[in-house]
Amino acid sequence: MKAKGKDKILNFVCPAVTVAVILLLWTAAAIAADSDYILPSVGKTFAKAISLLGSGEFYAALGGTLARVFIAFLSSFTIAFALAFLSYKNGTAKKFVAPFIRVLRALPTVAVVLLLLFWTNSRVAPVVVTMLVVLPTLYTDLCGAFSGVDKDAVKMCRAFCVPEKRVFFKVVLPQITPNALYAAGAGLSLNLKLMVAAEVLAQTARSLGYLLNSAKVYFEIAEMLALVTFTVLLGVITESVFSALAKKAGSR
Amino acid sequence: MIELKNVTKKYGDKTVYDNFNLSLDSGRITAVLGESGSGKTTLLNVIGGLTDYEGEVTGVNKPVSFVFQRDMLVRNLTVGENVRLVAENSDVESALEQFGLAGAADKYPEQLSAGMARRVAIIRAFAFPSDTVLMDEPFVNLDVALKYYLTEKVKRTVKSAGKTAVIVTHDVKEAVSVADRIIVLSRGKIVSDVREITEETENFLFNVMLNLNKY
Repeated sequence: MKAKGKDKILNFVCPAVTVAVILLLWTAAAIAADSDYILPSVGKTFAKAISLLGSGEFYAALGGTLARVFIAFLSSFTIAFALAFLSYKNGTAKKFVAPFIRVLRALPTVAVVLLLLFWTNSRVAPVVVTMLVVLPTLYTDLCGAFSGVDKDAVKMCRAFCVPEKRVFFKVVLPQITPNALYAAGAGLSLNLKLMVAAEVLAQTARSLGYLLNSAKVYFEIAEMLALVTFTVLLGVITESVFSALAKKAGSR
Repeated sequence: MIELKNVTKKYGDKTVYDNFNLSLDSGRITAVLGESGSGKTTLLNVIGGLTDYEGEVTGVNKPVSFVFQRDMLVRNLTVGENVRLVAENSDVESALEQFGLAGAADKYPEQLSAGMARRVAIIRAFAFPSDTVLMDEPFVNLDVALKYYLTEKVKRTVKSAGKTAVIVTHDVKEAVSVADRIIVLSRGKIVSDVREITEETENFLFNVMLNLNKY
């Protein structure tokens, strides 16, 4: 019990110390730079973040980015899940999927955004590129989740001719859920980072990427840092929530 | 009656059965003895349709019930859910009570001892509505008292339900205590077929087992 209590304290203290070290380094670098155009202080960035939280434009941008992240993630997760399930059920299908995944993994993100801007528009291009880039990672993680399914249990079900649907919902799905949730958390976080980058490039209206680009044009470094901090926080929160859900699912 | 006619089974270059023939009477317990690699588990897989083979197997109403060498319980399901996974409408509580596991329905496999898990695997096989039960070393690694208890329990359950059972084992005593008929396999061939169990059967089978390399 004592060891568990100590673990809980360390789980809180260690990240807090890391954040404190980052803020300390930032402060030292800001003092050394001595210019808000190069690196504003933590205080000024924090003040800018607070002012952003009071602006309607920020919420519209955040909403737009999150909606696109949601659409891209849902699409890539659905496709990755379907392909991973197909690969789990059929070795030949896996061989067909492998080159497709390899090509997607090698896609040069920026080049694809530029191409997509020709073919689509600035709202669609970031969604498509994010979906394509996240898909291989999600597929690989979900394949790992499927390979962790108890083969003996599946063999037993086959021997007793348990209907496929029941095997999927009672055996396969519960066993892949913890790893699938971990994969979803990491995938969503990656999705968010890529989306903001793609929005910067595509200059998507009502997006965090657009705000970042505008801040860059007007040398609003504090605003840029505040926006980056929001993006990082969103990513960390997403991963933490999914990680907690995965732990809960894995406890049984 | 279950009949295997001219069954040939190969794993790559290795031939396990070559034109193998066997008849198993309905409603009886047949024990299959033999050294490792003699084809005992393959015989169950052929009868249960879990592996491909050449030849013909008749008289098996599929699917059949299995007790595997390992318990093969689904780790994310409770004992009750494990049984209902294969036999949806079974009276789990009463089945558990019959095998001395009353109140274990909500336990997960990780909370069971080896003996309890084995019993659940056996309960699952008997809860499944089939005429045939195939058991691969169902009493292995159990303590003597539990082995005796389960042997008697299985024997009574098979008889009262009128099922046909095939039990694979290494243990001559176990085979003698549970079966109506005992066959001994060596390299995919029947080297002994005991249809009447008498007081001499155990000694006879010990001799057969000790001399398996001569067949």
